Amino acid sequence: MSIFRLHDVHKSYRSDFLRRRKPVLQGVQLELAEGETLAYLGHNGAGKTTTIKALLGLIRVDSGRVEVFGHRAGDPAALARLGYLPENPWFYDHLTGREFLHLVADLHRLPRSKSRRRVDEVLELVGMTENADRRLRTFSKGMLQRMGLGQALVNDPELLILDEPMGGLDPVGRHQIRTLLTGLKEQGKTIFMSSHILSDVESLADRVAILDGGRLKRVVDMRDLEGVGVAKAVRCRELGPSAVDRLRREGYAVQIRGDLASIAVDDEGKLPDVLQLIHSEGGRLLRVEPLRSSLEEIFLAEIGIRPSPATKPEPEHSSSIQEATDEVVEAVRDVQEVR
Amino acid sequence: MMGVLAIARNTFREAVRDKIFALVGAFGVVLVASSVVLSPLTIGAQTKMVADVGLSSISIFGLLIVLLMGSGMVHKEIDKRTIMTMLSKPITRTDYMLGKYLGLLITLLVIMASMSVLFFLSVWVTPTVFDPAFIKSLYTAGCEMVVVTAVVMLFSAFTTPVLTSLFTLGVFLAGHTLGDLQSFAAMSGNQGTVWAIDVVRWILPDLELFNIRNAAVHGLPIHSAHLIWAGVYALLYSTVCLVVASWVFSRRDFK
Ligand SMILES: Nc1ncnc2c1ncn2[C@@H]1O[C@H](COP(=O)(O)OP(=O)(O)OP(=O)(O)O)[C@@H](O)[C@H]1O
Ligand SMILES: [Mg+2]
Repeated sequence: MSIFRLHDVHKSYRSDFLRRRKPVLQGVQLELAEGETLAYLGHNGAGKTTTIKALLGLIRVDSGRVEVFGHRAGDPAALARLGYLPENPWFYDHLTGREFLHLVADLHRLPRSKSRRRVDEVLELVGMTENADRRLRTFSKGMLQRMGLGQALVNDPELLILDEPMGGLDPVGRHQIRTLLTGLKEQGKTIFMSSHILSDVESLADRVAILDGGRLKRVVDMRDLEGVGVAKAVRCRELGPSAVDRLRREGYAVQIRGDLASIAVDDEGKLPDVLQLIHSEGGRLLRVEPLRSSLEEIFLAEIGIRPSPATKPEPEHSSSIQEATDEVVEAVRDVQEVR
Repeated sequence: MMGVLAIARNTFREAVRDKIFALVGAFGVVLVASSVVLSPLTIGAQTKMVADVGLSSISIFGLLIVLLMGSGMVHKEIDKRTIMTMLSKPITRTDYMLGKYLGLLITLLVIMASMSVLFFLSVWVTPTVFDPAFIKSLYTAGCEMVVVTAVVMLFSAFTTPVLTSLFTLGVFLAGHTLGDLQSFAAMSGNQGTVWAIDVVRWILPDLELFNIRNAAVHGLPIHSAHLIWAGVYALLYSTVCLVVASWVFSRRDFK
């Protein structure tokens, strides 16, 4: 059964001065199956938030159909079964975290006896038990983000619609939220999340929809991405200067830091040659890792940016893979600048 | 219904925490100051003045609170984007507007009730004689606020706080003076003006209906039919305002 369905959805906003309409969504067509985690990728202004607001009935679309749980978008019957985390959430200043969650429970018509337990559970789940009785006014961005996720979970929803769930979180917070979302996914929740953070998406999503300029460019099934060849970074130690020279002559970007060398290899076919060379020159191989993820390559290709072999085009990256390769990439870029 | 009440309760709580109730203190100061200023008057004149100042101030403070609190209430939620979270919960936009209305109205009535208590205290300490008509006058003042609050909701459903305040103030003033204007127009004999004012009067609330302060202060008779009609009129007029307000609000995009 499909959880929601967007059928040929168009939406435009009027730009105030010119009175002209600016198209924001141009024929978006998307369906979400039960239990699935779908990530919605797109650069700033692509129309992710607009799509989400259309799903919630916060905006009316110009044309096309939006159905959630078989209801018209914004129908309370649909809203009762979902949880929504807005982008950069902000909640009532005058309430404490716990009071706010109780308000949400009331809006979901949870009986008092149940809501007290549920609110405690949710606070625990998002790690906010200790700060629950502070005014929301005093919360940091990351705390608000957690509260935001908490208020979306109060009704134990079947569908979670999350607009940039990792926004404003530090690495620890990001890890916690990722763990939490993984848990929810395992419980069988259906998740629709927008993001620009590819690494978070890679570890969670079953499918990825790529949006560009209000048009859906491609929907990628993450299972199809396994083993797709991409640029690699080779890290090794104790590589002699002659070997470094040879690699550079052959056109590889090499960065040296102490006795550590990082070599960017953009063609997978050349990998055996490079490894052979390192071995014969007496270098000690540390590891070979992807320079970019395959998703990133697809994403960049879809939005029309051709990745050069050694640049790091997405500034917001911080995956485990990415963090590990950051150093290499940085190093390679330095080398290129020196040249 | 539970959703409506939850929103009303939250609105009331916000008012309490924003210290709106401090205005009751300001009202107390007005009362004390007025009785000090009025004390040189002869007993008869003073008692009427104390009652008049007290009852008028309760109405004026009521209007002030509606404008202060009501005009920005919905706009603030849109501005701070708290509305996104609220409207993603299983309530209709009508529920939301009703909840906000009730919250504002309850806040207002609680404040007016507190001011009334202070007023009765002032009647008790000054030589003013208590007249049950005072209560009738406070009741119609409450009915008036039921209407004015609904008018604020109507404007705030689609426009900015400043314009909401201005429009509401305009409706308030026009609602109190159109009756007089009409008599003037009738005397001048210009048929067009009479019709124009008729149309406007038909749309705007007749707020003079709620003004029985003079009768109360001077001990003139007040018919209970009038009081019943004031209540019915307030309910009808505010219902129409709220229906239109929630219709407008339901059609809005929250970008
Ligand atoms: N209130 C508004 N009025 C006019 N145009 C708007 C409004 N909100 C968004 N837009 C426009 O709609 C387009 C899509 O915006 P949207 O917020 O959906 O993008 P997004 O993909 O969520 O971007 P981000 O990653 O920055 O959150 C943008 O070009 C933006 O300029
Ligand atoms: Mg967005």
